[in-house]
Amino acid sequence: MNSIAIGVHNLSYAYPDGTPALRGLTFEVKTGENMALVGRNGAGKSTLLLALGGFLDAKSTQGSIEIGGLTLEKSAVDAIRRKLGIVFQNPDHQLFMPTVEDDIAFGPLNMGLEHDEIDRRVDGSLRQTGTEHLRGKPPHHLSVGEKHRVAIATVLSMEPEILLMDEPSSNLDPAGRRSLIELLRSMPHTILIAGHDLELMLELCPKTYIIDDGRVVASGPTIDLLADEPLMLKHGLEVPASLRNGKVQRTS
Amino acid sequence: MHHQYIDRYARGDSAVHQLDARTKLLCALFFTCYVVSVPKYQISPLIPLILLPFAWISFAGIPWRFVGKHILICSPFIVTLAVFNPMFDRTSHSVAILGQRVHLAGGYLVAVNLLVKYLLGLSCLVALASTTRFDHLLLALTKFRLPRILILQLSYLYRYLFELIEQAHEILRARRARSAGRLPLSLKIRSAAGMVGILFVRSYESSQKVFLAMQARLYNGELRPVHQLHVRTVDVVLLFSVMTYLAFCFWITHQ
Repeated sequence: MNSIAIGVHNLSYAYPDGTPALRGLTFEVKTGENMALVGRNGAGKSTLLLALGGFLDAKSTQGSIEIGGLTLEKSAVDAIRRKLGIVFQNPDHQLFMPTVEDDIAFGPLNMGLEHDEIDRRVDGSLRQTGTEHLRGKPPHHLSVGEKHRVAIATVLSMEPEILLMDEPSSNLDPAGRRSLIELLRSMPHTILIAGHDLELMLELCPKTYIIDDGRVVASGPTIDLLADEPLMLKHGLEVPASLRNGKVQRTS
Repeated sequence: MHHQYIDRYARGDSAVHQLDARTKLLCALFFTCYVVSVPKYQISPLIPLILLPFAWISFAGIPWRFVGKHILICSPFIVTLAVFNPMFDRTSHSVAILGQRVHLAGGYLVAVNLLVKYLLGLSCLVALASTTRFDHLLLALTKFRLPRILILQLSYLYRYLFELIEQAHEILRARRARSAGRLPLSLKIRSAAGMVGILFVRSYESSQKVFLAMQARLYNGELRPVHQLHVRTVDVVLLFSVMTYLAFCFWITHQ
């Protein structure tokens, strides 16, 4: 399980107005790894996730991206999106169909799968995320926690190899957040989580990249990086409370 | 935030709920067309039509209070239209009330005609929305070959309307929190314009993000349904019965 799931080499991107968002960013995630991508607001985390999904304008992008052995280029975008499950920050953007079931079946239907296989995947994703009871409900009837779980189910049904998650715990209450952590912990996928919830990163991701101003500024074991106060402060972050008090040593 | 969803009872399990969406949609369509076609000075042809929405709502077990509430919500517009009619239409019409022939200004007849049509039309609409899941309605419209773009727009309207209402509520609450008592009318109007602008920009940004999420799940311009609709014998019998009933209503009012 040591092959490279995500390989990014010297990636640069500038917004249409010329403002650089990513500046020669290089990193890799091995298959089966849970990796955290940490950085202050505007550091380039979300832009990087968009780049990995092939959503950025190729003309404004330099460098190379490799996902599951495929190099990201126009002709490979669909194949790469089959390998990636992207969970966007706001679940309301992810859940756009009239019912939860329709939303979960959306990806498999677009993959051209047979109806029996789609049913199997929808059942499996609902079961895995503990949302069987929400099957026929419209997304606007769900709580925030339920929306987050269903948003994950919508990508699991595509059986991706890699999950990219942008701020997965935003707006969740403590119980919803805990249940999300347990759900993510149970997944065998390669997972790249971008965000600020450092406690969540500590629990789920053994390794971390810190990015700032579109560059990777540090990488290494999560517990070491997040406990490094000067480093954290320099890049607009802070040491999580559990490490500051020396109480918890959780990352294996 | 709690919304008074119009489709709150759409997921029931009564016999009416289990009918094919196309049957209910066609029934509602024929009924509405018939109601609309009744001439503006006539009221008696509308009376036997009350039976259909009454039976529909009763058999489906939808609370009358819920139906009444929705009828009231939309009523100001139609009541305003109705009350101004007697001022404009003063033509004299002879009508029979309790066996007595009396002369009335046409405006009064049009007003009552409008109100009864509104009552019938809206109760039928509430009955349809309360007994049919919206996704099934969209599927029925797809089967009736409505343009795909229109179905897509309806689908997103239903999905994001509630989000938009919630955002508007939040902005209004934020304005109230900072208005320190009474807000001058001029400032109210100016801030309302700003609010509309903000809502528009947010909607536009959201639509772009939704499109990204769709592309991430391999959307290529075609929306494929998960479910299929199934017409049963009961659907055919019911549709035939409703058409017979409408034909009967037509026949008794033209005797």
